[in-house]
Amino acid sequence: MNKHNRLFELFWTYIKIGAFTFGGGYAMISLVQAEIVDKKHWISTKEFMNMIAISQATPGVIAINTATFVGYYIGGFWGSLVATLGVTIPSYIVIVIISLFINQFLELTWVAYAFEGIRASVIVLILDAVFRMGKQIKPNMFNIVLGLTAFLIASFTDFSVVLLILIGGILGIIWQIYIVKAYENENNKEEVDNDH
Amino acid sequence: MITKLVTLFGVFFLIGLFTIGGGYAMIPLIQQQVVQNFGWISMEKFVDFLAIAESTPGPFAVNIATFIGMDMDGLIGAAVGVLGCILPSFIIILIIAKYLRNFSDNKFVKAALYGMMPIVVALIASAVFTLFLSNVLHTSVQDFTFSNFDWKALVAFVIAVFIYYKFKINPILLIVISAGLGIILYGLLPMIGI
Repeated sequence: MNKHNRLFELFWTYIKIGAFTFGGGYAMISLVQAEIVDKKHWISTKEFMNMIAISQATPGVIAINTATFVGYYIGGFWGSLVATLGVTIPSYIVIVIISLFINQFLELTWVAYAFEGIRASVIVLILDAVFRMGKQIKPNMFNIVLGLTAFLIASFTDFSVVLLILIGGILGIIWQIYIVKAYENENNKEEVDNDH
Repeated sequence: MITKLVTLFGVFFLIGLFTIGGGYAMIPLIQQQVVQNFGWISMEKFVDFLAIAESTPGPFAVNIATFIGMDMDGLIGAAVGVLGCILPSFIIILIIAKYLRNFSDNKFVKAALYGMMPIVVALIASAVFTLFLSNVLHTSVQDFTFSNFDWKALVAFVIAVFIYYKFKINPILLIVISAGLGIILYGLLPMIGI
């Protein structure tokens, strides 16, 4: 298959993926797996899993991260460009169309009532994200103290949330690399001493 | 007008860059930057956008960026918002894919993410707290009061929690059910004097 055909196919595949996944990056993974790995065999499952792991451990929108990654692997820079644009364009079009009508729509009395209820469900969905993400974090002293402090600062002050995240990163490095490691080395030394 | 677009781009670039661990991490960032700092949209409108972004296809972050950009400056605003939001991902992943395949194995990267995760979760929890205050008590931390307490909003919230966790339904169905609940609570009940 020539290069242009493949780029076009990649673009079209990602348009489909963007148009048919609800619920963001994680929901997208199974669709990408089905299309790109199982059907087209453009990349292996192992490579794909590796890309997802990196996408999750990298700043940025996960869906865009994986699209850029998969696209780059299949077609270099242009591959990453068409995959990223492909996954973005359906959202853009759908939301633009909705936006054109949303203000008039929200002004309808009964729609406004419906949205009073919908707001409650949005809070529940965000709360659920907190639980899901929270489960992946070890409940040790470092995480609990850091989390609680950040919660209080974010809720009761105007302190920048971006700075809070950066501070978390710096504290993570200090804690993991300079304190936990030093502690482990100390313990290992004692074990060696005990052996004698 | 150009200044506004540049600011919009910059704000969404920052939001895209600091979205760590999934689309929901954007919520506290948008709340602080777009709602509080710049006042581009109201809190109510933001929550409405979240509901629509959740029930339309595509990446949550892109949907939200399109919505806010469109609200500010039409098609161009939407394009600028989306570009700002996806460019950090695009650039970072290109660099990683080309030069740094072992990026996520790096001990400093791992340690930084380890410290960032509890913060991100705490920030989303704080967004829930703020949304709860504004939606149920119609108040904020800055000028707190109980006098605007909206018991119907609390009922809608409790029922939504119950249905979501009891029946494990998908988010879109929850939104549809809650819409019906809103119509009953705010439209039909007042007709019989409640």
